[in-house]
Amino acid sequence: MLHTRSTRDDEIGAALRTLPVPPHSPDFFSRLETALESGSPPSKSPRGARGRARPILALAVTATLAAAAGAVATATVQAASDNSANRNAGAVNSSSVTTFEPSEDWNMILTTVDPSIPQDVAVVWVANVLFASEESTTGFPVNTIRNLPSDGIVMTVIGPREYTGETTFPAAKLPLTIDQGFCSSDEYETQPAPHVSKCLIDMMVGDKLLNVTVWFGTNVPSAALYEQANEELARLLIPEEI
Amino acid sequence: MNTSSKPFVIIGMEATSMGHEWSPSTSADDEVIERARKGDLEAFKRLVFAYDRGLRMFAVRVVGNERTDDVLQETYLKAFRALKRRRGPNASVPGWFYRIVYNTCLDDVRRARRAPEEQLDISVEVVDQGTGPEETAMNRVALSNALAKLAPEYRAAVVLVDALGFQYAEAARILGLRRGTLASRLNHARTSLRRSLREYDTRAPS
Repeated sequence: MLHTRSTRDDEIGAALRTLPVPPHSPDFFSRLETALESGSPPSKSPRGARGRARPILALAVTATLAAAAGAVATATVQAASDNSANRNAGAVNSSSVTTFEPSEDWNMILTTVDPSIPQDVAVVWVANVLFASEESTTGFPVNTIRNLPSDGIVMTVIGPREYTGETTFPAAKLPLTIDQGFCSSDEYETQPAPHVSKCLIDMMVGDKLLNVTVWFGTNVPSAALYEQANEELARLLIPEEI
Repeated sequence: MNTSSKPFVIIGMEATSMGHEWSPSTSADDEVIERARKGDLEAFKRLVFAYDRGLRMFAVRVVGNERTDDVLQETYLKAFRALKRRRGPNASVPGWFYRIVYNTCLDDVRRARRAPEEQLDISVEVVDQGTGPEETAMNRVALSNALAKLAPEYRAAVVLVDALGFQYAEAARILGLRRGTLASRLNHARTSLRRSLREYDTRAPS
């Protein structure tokens, strides 16, 4: 039986406690009191009102300090736990950024850290395993892929982005499925590990190119694994207007 | 329900001016809890006063500054409605509050995921508060960045245990996890935070 002691990391705890906790908005308690007395839902804080376009990266520090620190946002990591996500949504997305509504226990990283990819091109990874902790700051989840278990899946998505090459790609049929792609296994060029196979799904969305690569931790993915991958591909949300 | 009460804003001011410490050990006495359980609004406000600082710190780290007020409003309203039906010892009331706020945070995160134009901003508005050298403020920026890279579930784990001092068993109950899963999340979160901070240290000019 696994025994876990309640060890605490005092250094990290102390560091976290140095982060400021902003005060309540001035009307916080009056709004709460009104809600408690009336039993009606509390009115929304102007501070947290939804509907504003927000940057996809979750990091926005005070500009001067960020510049001084030389450390700006590079990636955001999210673990999904949404059972109720709309599985039929996996086609177009009203936002301007490609993203997923990943299934429960899948993990997602939105990243712009690959210097070879323009900053305005969305790069999103999802996996049914935890990403190796260092990958959120790298350009590609190579360690996660190399260490995939036999039932592991990683998907990397780039774009849609401008494409001026001569190769022609089919128009995307949404939701994307594995059988729309080209799969490789067993000693293919650039194979990240001997047991890892991949499927490339390169499709045009309008006049822009979308690159999706699905990595499996086995050279012989089962039907169940393909099905799992297809379910996740159906959760890919592509910008409506590109 | 007793709704005759002092203006609630006074409590907020007291909470600030008294420098109320956030800690899971902060608790209201049994009598206050019993009164709140019977619908006494004034007693419930005292509960809010007792727990707000820690709950706020927790929510800020999970959903970010801009969403915290709304998450806490929703939390307190849920708690007020549910308290009368709650069973269990009064000693577990603080953990019960944290569980409500955690679930409310996750709901908020999910709503944001369904509306990607509303991505959560968990950044910390880091300003030099004059409490230390510039490097301290920059360290906070690095830490804030590192925290933002973690998934909300991981942020919640590390804040509950390392910053707020919850024992694993209680934190696991709050987060609805097995202890082993909690330990795994903590390990991942700590490793990631340490790495980011080390990277900052190596980049920082000497």
